Amino acid sequence: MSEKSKIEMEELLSALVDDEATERQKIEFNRLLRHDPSIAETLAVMRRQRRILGALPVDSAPASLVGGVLSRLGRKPIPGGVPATQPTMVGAGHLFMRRALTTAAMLLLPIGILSFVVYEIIKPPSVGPVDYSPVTSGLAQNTGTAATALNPAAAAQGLPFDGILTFRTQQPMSVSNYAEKMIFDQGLVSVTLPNRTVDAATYQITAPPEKIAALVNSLAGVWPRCRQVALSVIDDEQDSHVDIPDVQTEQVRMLALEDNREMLKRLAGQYASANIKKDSVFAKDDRPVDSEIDLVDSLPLTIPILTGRNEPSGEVIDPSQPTVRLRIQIERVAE
Amino acid sequence: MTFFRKYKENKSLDDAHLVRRCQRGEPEAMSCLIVKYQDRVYNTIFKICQNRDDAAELTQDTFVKVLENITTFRNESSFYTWLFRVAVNLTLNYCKRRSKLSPVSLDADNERLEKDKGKLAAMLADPNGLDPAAVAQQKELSRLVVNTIGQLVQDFRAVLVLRDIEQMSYAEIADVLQIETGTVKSRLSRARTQLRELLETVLT
Repeated sequence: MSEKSKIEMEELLSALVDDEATERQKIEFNRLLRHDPSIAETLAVMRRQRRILGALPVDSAPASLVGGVLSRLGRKPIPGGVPATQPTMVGAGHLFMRRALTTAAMLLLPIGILSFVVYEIIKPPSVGPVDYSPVTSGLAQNTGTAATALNPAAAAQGLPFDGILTFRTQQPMSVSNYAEKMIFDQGLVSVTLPNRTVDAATYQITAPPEKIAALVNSLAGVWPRCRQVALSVIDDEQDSHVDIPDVQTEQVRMLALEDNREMLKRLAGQYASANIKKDSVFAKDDRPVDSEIDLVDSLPLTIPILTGRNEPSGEVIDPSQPTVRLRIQIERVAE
Repeated sequence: MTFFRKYKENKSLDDAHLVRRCQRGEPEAMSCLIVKYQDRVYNTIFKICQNRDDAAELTQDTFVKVLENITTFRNESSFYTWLFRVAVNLTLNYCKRRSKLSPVSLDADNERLEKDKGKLAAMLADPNGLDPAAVAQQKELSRLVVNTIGQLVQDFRAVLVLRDIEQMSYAEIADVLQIETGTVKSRLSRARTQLRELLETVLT
């Protein structure tokens, strides 16, 4: 019997064992049986084998099976069960929020640091408004021994004058150079807080009134070079100020030397009124345009201000003296 | 009311009804389904994998997997065949992994069972002797038959168990194993032949 015939014979017997044989298979079986009676023996063995398999004892599943399955299901979302799925969704939402916040922090923190660095690089230099902070503390931070020598108590009980002298000119560099030279010549470097840029400069000087008056006198040559010179007299106590337009050298001197607060205010008011009237009566064309200040330009300061050197004036400022404050502000005006 | 009394009351419920209740998340219906099929699933798995502990674990895995995915069952096919499909697939996959990790040697068992074969042969030699069913009920001899089934090729083993032990029809076997009916017949025939050859001394 060939291998193919053998397989066909086995399938035929298997079908007969299962009572699934077709009529054609049954006829074929009877034909084969006539040629080989041992096939009947084989069929009988196969039927007996099937009966044995079908009669094998059925074991019971472990008693813990139901409990085990339900227990495992209890640790997982029950299909269709709302209570089991709800916490899962809440957990997922919470996890999503945590991830989103972490991502945002990771992105925003470097961006913030980078932005700060860029801002620090590109921000314009501070020209800034007037610093009205107590002068003594500023000096103490910036000028070392000379500044610390000033008696804070004396400064606190200083004379009433506190003014901002503003020079508006087309040549702020020349005017600034000139002012610095005068400050240097007057021996006021150690009590001056400078702040200078291309288009503006400020010098905050705190000194006895006589020294301030002398400085103002020495700056007389600046006036003709400026389009406008104005003085604001600050009253810190009442947080007010009096603006004096087209202020003159002598007027500044007088105000700096005034030791009575009320008188100072009154005097400032009178000067302001007078100058306003003068403005309306006299044409501005009578101001000199050029002056000897050009000569100053040819004599630039060879020693930069506030770099530490011996001042030419042998006169030392007595820290116990009462002081006044003058802020010189030099600004560029358009042509 | 005890759980089993509840089960007896629900036993008449058909699979479709129990499945719908399971899909609504009723643990009681899940318990009923497990109790209804646990022995048959366990025995089928045990006959294929040949290890009681593994069979218990695989039975549990089967019910867990089925009940986890019960909402995806659409009643288009029989729940019974779906359940056995999961069980047989899990078991066959497990057997493949196990055979790769540690090939099972049946030599020791065979030596011990050779003696049993002799006893079984003596009882079955006479066609007028003991009823084969009665022989199968004897613990040692039934163990011999089961172990012999374990020596069959896995695919043949599954078909033989589903047909001759679980008494499934050809169509149901084809549905469970996801194969053609002709393939079922072919595998079944070869499985029976192999088993007959292995048990030849006993059955002739």
